[in-house]
Amino acid sequence: MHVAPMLLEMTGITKTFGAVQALRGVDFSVAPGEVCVLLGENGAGKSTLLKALTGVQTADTGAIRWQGGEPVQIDSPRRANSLGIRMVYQELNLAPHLSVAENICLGAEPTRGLGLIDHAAMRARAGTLLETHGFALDPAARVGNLSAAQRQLVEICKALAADARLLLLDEPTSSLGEREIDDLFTTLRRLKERGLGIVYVSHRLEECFAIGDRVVVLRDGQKVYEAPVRETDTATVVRQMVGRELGEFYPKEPVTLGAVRLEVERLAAPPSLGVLPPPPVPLPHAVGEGGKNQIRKAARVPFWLPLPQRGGGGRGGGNPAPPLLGDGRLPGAGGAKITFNARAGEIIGVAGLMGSGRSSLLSALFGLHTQASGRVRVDGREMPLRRGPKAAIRRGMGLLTEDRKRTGLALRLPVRHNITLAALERLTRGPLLPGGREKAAARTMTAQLNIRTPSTESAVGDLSGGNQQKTVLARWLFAGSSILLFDEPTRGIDVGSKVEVYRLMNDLARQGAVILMVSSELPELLGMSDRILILHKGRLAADLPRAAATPERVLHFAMTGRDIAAGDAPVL
Amino acid sequence: MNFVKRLLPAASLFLLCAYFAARSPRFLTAENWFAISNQYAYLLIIGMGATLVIVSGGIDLSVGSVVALAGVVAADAMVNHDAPAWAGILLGIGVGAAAGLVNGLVITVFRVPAFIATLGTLLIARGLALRIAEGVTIDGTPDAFNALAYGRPFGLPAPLLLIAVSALLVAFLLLYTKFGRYVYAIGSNAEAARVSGVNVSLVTACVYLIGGALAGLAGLVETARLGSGNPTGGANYELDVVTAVVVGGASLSGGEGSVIGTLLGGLLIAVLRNGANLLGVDPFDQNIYIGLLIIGAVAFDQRLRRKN
Repeated sequence: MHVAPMLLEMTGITKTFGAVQALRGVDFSVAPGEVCVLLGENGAGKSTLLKALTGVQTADTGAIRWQGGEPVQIDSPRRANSLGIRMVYQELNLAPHLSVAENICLGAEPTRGLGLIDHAAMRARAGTLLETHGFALDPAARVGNLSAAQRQLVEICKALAADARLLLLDEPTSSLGEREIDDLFTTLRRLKERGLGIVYVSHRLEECFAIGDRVVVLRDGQKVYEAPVRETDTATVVRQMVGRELGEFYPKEPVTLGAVRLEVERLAAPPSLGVLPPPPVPLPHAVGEGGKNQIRKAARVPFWLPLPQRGGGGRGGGNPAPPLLGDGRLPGAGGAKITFNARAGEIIGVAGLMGSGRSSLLSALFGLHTQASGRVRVDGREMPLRRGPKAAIRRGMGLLTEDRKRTGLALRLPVRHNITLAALERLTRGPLLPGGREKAAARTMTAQLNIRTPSTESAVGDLSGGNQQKTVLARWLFAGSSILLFDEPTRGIDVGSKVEVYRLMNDLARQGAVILMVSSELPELLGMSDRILILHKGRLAADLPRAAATPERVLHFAMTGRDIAAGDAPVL
Repeated sequence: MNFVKRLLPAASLFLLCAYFAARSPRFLTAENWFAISNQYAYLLIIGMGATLVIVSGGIDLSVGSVVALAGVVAADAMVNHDAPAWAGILLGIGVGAAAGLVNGLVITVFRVPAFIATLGTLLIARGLALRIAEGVTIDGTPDAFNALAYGRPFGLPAPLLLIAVSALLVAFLLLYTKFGRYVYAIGSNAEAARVSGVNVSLVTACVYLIGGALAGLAGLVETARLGSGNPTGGANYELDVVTAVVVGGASLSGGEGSVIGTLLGGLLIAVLRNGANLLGVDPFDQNIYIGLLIIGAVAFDQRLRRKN
């Protein structure tokens, strides 16, 4: 099928670390202009394979052919670089205080005599590079002032500088919102057209299917599956990754809802949540004209969906009325402030683009916003909003933050310390530590949540992402929290751990907990939630019950603040 | 890893002692060890407070000046205002605690980084000490007070007991109280601690308060040792103390460190200075050795970390 020689051909790659066989005879190839998606659970060997490609580690056996030539030795990052193999790192490796141009040319600055930096030439070189790749970035801009997506572009641009042939991307979208991902994919497609090979590693399957040409699945250091993207589907790939039938990937169990446990009234937390003025109510005829196209344009093509083309008249009429908010107000009618209720056993998904206020909603509920206003009642009791997390924890709240390494865990401290940190009072009243009872409690929690760690005394930073996340969960379960605020609970964790987290959510719901889950993964939101709150620019755009929440509607609300039919025909 | 980390300063200390013992017959005498405890009490007493501060992820540069200020205030009260020894002692510790509280408040309320906040109080405390003493030493502290340095309760030198008391106090706080647990958590990840409901500001302020109080106590021992309050005393103590804590295995980025480590680190420096003096090594050269010691200790620690 490929007339041109393969860009990269790896055959029989093995790599052993001590007793662990990280790679066992893996064959892996990438053609020019191809996006090869590399999938596998954590520890399947993806990182090792990438490291063998970038020269960070050398394979024990196996051959690597480059552009159809003789086998090459990639024994150093320098060698990989000279071949044109470039890695875009998951953790952004940029100097925030330097300009875009300075970052792109870092380590290869154009110089004049005496080794002085030629700033003009540097800006010009960066400018040309940005332009050829169609990145709308100012070379003089300070990287620290850019958005996460723009920084990602700088990172890619840096990797593309001078003769890149193969681009390796490891979880490039973990810090991006939906629209930013869309932009990234446009860029990747352009690069692909110019004959670059791309290896794409991600935990987000939908993305992989949107951008990939071919899927390669690793499991336990072996290649277990390979197929063109158009000939496979997510269920097959997931089965191959875990090597067992997962049954339902989102094992949501129906739960009978109980009493109202959480009442949120006119919550606002400047600057990002609930502070915008209500949108003007559009006059029916004002929306009709050309609105359709505008919305299409604004919405672009969501990456895992066909264009929502079915709109038309056929759908407009049968569309349900805009959903009511918790207290019966129409969206926007009560100002921008957020109002909703949650009942025992309810899992509420919170959707929205980055910067929509979805994380602020959780942190404001948890008392972390000193300027928050509004009323929050938990089980009928008023909760002081600005008195810090302690008050929220006492009322039974628990917050799993978006970035567990930066704001969730004390990485160098033992698992035990991390589990009991929020609730030492539960074990002892006085100022002294509880000693043995604490160890027992930590052991119980690690067993209950199936946290795989050598012991409760191991540093939590040494555990895998999934087990770290379960440690944060253990902290709140140990604290007895039953109003759980989860911000991206499955980000960057392997499929097996994801399913464990979902099961746990089910268990908690069955026991009468309330779960608010912010997620960038639409299938996860739709799969696990009883209801979905959709935020748009700090405003509660919609509150949809599970049955009414189609991916198209949720996405449209998130991207435009309006229902999917609203552009076609005025509702009501 | 912890074991190796602990072993290195312990083994270095042992080897150093063996070396000095072999070279100088006076090294292993009780008299010499009493002298060590007397002369370097400041290092270990302040070091205990600094262990708390550094484990919490902070730093206190003001301790040297606080030593001078506490000593001068106590000496002034006793010499010029006939205050009894116990009042002088309380006053000195109180002055140290107050300085620490100021540090803690500036850091937590005004969000000034610890390095800058305590650099400021370093200058302020020094200036206050010089002004109170009018630039000269306040001589003639009463014998009852000087017992802090020369007394022998239970047949042991008083400074040794004070070191032991401060070490036990801080070790108890760090290992057996919720406060200590929070100190480690804040040092390891302050934001995670805050989200877990830890009152980060309160704990941080207490950490600096205890650090200041112990610096005040060290200032009293120094004043008692010299029999006078010296407004220019305690200079550069902050650097010796940081050296001791870091050589003892603490990380300046917080979350790591222990009382045992600081005791070993402090003793290593004290013994190095004392033995070098006994052998007649030029004091100028001693600084070079101690400089090499801190760089070597941290370089080794980094290597160990990378291996893990």
